[in-house]
Amino acid sequence: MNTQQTNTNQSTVEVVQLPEKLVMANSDEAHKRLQSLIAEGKNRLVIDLGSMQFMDSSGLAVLVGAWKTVRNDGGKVHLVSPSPSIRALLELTRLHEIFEIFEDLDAARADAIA
Amino acid sequence: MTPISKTYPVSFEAIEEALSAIQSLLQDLSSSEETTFKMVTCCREALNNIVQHSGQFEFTSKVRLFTRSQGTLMVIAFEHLPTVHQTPADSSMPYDSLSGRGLPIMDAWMDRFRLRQTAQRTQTLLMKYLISDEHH
Repeated sequence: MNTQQTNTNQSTVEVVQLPEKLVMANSDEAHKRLQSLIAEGKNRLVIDLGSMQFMDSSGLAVLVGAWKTVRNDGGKVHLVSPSPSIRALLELTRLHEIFEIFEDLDAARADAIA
Repeated sequence: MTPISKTYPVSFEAIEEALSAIQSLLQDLSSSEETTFKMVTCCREALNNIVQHSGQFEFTSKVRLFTRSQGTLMVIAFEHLPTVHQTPADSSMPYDSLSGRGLPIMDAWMDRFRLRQTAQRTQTLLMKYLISDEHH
């Protein structure tokens, strides 16, 4: 899982690249990584789903876990570039009602800073 | 068609092996990308449940294909000795829960989904008509 920071005067946005498969076998590792970033104060996360091919309910739980952790202290979790299949999974599970989903990384980053 | 049947150990590695075989079969049948994704995702949810809840050491995957007027019907059954821990039977869709999405996903994306438990075995049955890219 790769990360990249964007800094402004007020905020830091962490862009997180998730793996091609986020499934039960590796979801615990991804969960710990995201929670570790949040614990470091990086509570504006842009999660890049661009290279993701498969995600299961364990992977969805990783995303929801991050959102639940940051929501009470003004943080944000945005999702970027899901494939049509991943987007269908997000919509089926109603997670598009929780997360803002962007097609463009720059737009997601700008909104996360705002 | 003779059922394709194989028994695997209950492990993450076996999940990947079983899914890879199913995905290859779907590709051979020219299943659309969307249908393949839904089928593989639902199989993964079923297998996740076995790893998490069965308390057993092996499971059997049985794949059958039927030609119907509506198209090719794929029927996949995952079977194992009776589940030790009861899986949640709630198929409602939680909004912000960390768990409980597997059954609703299978329920929504399969043409038929059934979880059956008897004294002899636990069976997860997934059925879906395959849509090829040509019809998409």
